[in-house]
Amino acid sequence: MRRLRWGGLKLSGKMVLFFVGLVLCQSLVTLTILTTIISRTNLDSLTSQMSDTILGVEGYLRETFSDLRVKGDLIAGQQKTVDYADYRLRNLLARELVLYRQSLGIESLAVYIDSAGPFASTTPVAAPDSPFRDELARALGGERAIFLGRGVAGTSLFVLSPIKRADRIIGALSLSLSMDKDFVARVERIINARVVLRFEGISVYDPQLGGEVSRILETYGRRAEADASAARNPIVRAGSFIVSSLDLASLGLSGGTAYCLMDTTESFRQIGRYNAISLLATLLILSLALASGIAFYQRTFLRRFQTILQGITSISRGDFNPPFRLGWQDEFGQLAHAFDDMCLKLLTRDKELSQLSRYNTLVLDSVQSGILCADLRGEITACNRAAERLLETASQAPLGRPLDDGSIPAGIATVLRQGLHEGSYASGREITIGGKDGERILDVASSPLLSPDGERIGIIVVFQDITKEKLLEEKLALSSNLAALGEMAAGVAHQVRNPLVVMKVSSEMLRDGFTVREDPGKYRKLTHLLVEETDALNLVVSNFLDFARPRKVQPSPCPVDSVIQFALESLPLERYAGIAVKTVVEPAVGEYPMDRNLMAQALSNLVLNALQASRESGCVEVRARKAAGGLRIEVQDWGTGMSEETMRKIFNPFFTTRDSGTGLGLSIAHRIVESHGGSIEAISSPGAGSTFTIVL
Amino acid sequence: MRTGSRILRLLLLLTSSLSIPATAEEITFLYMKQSGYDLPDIVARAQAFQRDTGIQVDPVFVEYKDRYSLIVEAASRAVSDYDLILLDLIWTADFAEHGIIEPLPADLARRVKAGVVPKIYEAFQYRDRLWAMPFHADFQLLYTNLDLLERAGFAAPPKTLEELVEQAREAKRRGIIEYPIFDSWIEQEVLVCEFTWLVGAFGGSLTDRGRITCTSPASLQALRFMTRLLSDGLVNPYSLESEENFTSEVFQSADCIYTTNWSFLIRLLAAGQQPSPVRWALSPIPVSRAVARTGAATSSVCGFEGLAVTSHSQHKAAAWRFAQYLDSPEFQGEHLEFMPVWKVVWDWPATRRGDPYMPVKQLEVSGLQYRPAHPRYSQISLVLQQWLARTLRGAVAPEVALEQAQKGINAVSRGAP
Repeated sequence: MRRLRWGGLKLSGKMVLFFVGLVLCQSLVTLTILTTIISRTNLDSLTSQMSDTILGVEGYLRETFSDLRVKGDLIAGQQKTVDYADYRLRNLLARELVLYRQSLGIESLAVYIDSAGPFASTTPVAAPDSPFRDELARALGGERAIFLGRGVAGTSLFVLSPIKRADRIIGALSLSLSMDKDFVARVERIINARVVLRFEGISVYDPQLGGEVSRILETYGRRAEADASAARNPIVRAGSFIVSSLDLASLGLSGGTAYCLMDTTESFRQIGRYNAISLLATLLILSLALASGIAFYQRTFLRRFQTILQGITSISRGDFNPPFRLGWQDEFGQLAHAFDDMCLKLLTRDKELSQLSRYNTLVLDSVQSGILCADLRGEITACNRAAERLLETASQAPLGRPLDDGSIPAGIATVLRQGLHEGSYASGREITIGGKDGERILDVASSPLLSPDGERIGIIVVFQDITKEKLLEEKLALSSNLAALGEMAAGVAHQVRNPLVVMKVSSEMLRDGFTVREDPGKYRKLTHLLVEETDALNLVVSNFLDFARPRKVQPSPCPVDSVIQFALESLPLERYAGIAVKTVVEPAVGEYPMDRNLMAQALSNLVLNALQASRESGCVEVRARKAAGGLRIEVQDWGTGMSEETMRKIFNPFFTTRDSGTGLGLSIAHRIVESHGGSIEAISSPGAGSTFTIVL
Repeated sequence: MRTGSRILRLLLLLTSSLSIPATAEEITFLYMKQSGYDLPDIVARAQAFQRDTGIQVDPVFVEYKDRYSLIVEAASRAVSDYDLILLDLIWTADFAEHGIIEPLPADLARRVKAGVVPKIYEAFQYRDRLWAMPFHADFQLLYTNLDLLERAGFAAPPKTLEELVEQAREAKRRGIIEYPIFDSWIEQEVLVCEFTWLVGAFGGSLTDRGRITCTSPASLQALRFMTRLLSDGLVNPYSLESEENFTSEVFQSADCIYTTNWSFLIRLLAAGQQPSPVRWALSPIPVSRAVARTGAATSSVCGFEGLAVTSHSQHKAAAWRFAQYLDSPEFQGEHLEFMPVWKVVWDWPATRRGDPYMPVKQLEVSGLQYRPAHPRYSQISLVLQQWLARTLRGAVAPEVALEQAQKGINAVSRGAP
């Protein structure tokens, strides 16, 4: 099975997938948000309901307590109650109390005429416990009391109302309402929640709630305690219930708490059903939207796109005739119209380009230099007629062919390759190629072929046939060399002849009857001259040999300032005390690969030449700086300067303008610099001094 | 209501006169709702009478408190609304003196005197004539809660007033009950009744040779006895606010050991409608030890009702005929829960079998005391009630109260026709 790749899909496929993905994501996000919002809203709603519920419970309890107080006061104020209690009609009073209890739906009624025990009651009542006695004492003192206490079966709410005859307290009526399951059921009838009453660790609730009440209340207590920001009646979610509580102390009753439990199971189940329906509806709508979208896409986009594509394909084939001419009014119509306009313009431009191409071809073909262009792939993209002629490629036209397929000479191909792959471009490179008329020398130059934006898009090579010029140059050089050789021979002869003359004269004097005893001083002088002149000859020969000896350059990175300093140290500067030698080395120069000893020798020769050319006082300056990827060292003096004639010969061996010079210093310096692949030039004018520049 | 029924009867009369031959006779019978024979029994008896005689009887049932005024008002018309009335014995002199009722026909009077216990029919005699057929012979008896009595250490009800006081004091001392005695001493007619039998218990009477007197030693003893019971805390002070029905409730509720009350309480106690019926005993009301030594065993007060025919009745014969039919020994023999007035019924074996309290009742009848028979008895009674009540409330001394009462009675009596 082929792996589906995004890049391999058509735009339409991508659009469909994108659309489906987008709608799915949107649907999922919407559903998620909706579900979250609904759940949150539901929770907020339930929480709000719980707030209302707890208020409802509080209100109901307040109303119940108030109702009990009213009932207590009412019964206590009944004439029969007063009379029967006052006149100790215990059984009649009990009967009345029973009637009251039956009609008012309360747990029990009792009348106390003292704190010992009930005088009459609806149900057997035990002797009052301590808390009850305290409240009873208050009631017998004329105060009404309401409190939670031990009732007939569990905890009950008691109301104690004084029984008065005129202003005399004759007893107290105790009215109790059992806080039992029936009471819980009555509370539950007015609210939409379950109620749990808790009195000192004992819970009263509907048995249907089962044993999970303790766990729910425990969870509630823990979370409510953790919620420091909780209000008076904290609302907490515990399991599937939302729970809140009401401390009965807020109603004036200590020792009891009412809890409201709202079961959220059904509510969230309902939401789950709604969500499922929403999901199904969304999927259905999505499917319909997708189907209609695809149909719409096919009808309004894909077909028109294919039409446009066919038109563009025909354009790409070079058919610039407007392909559409459609009457669509939509975006595709605008696009087709734009394409038609574009084709009209392209058609015009094509014609112009054809004319321009022909003109360019004509220009190129009219140029006598050969021009070759290659693109970055190494394919020949241009080859003018001169190139075909010079490269003799008429039978194998290189245009459109790779440069390595042998259609162009190897030397030209090398220049192209170096330019394309190494970024190394030729300038004035001479390349010898074979031809049917023999070898031919081409002067080749290359440069990058740049787009109007300056981007390198290939290489252009321009070459001329300089075979004739080279032949002429060789002849000229041969003449020049012969002249130089003649000058050198003349120099050598000059330098050899003078010692030889001295030596001949001295030797003839010694041979012609000269005795040592007669004139020992003269003898020593003559022999000394012989030795000196022999040494001078030897020096001439040594210098010549030194000049003639091939030098082997061993370059290594050398600090330029150190090399200059080394060169200066080798000079007898003390002889030129009036001349200041100044070095200026730019800090950026640093190190440069060179043969330290040879380059020091070349520099010392140039400096010595400058010292000798200087007057008794003056200045010689040695400067070093970086230049165009290389090193530039200048030695400048402000001495006598040179004429043009002198300048043409200064690098010839044994050429000197001084009587004592060997004429080899500058020649040696020239050879050392050339052996480093560099060049040395001299700029001078008579009386203004000279500047020798080494470029490495 | 009364006007409406009158109009209805008038319409019925007119209708019947148009469609039915005027042979059918119709009488109206004014009866009391709250005591005496049950109303359904009365209605059934009336219907039986109509079947037997063709005379239609229309019973009209009214409250006791309305009865006197209704009768007097009806008497002011030329034709009375009522042909036959239930007559409280205390009204006998009043109605007889004012011509509201007719004396019994001579033959009927003879038959009554021959058949009815004298102590009973004599209550309806005034100026030597008999004005009503004795119908309902009610009187007071002593009711004792045996449970409380036994807890106080006594086995039988007291035989004398002194014994009554001793038992009550002991019960109080033992804390059995705070107030052992409860009675109907409210400032109403019943207070005069209570005072009447107490005067008798101390050997006296409110009538001395035809003159009403309440200053006799017996009267003073009786009143002092009452005040002493109050001051000693033996009688419940609430008695001063209580009439007979409430007193009966107190006894039925076992909130007292002793009470004296009319015979209707027997039915209530026998019915045992209370949640926990009391164990009780019925006995003659005791007299003082001194009187007992004279041979008198008991003292009580009459509360009789008789059947009287109004003077303005157009159907007197029919009315007397229905009175005899209703007041027949057979009818009374069938309803032994009420004391029969006919001597013959007393002697029936069925009577002795059907009413276990008949001996006590018969004994009590022997000790019956009459309230004064006077045309202005109602005013006399009010005077006496007032002074008795003031005494019992501690406002005046007994002797002063009785002197003042006597003065008042004399003044009222002098105005009598």
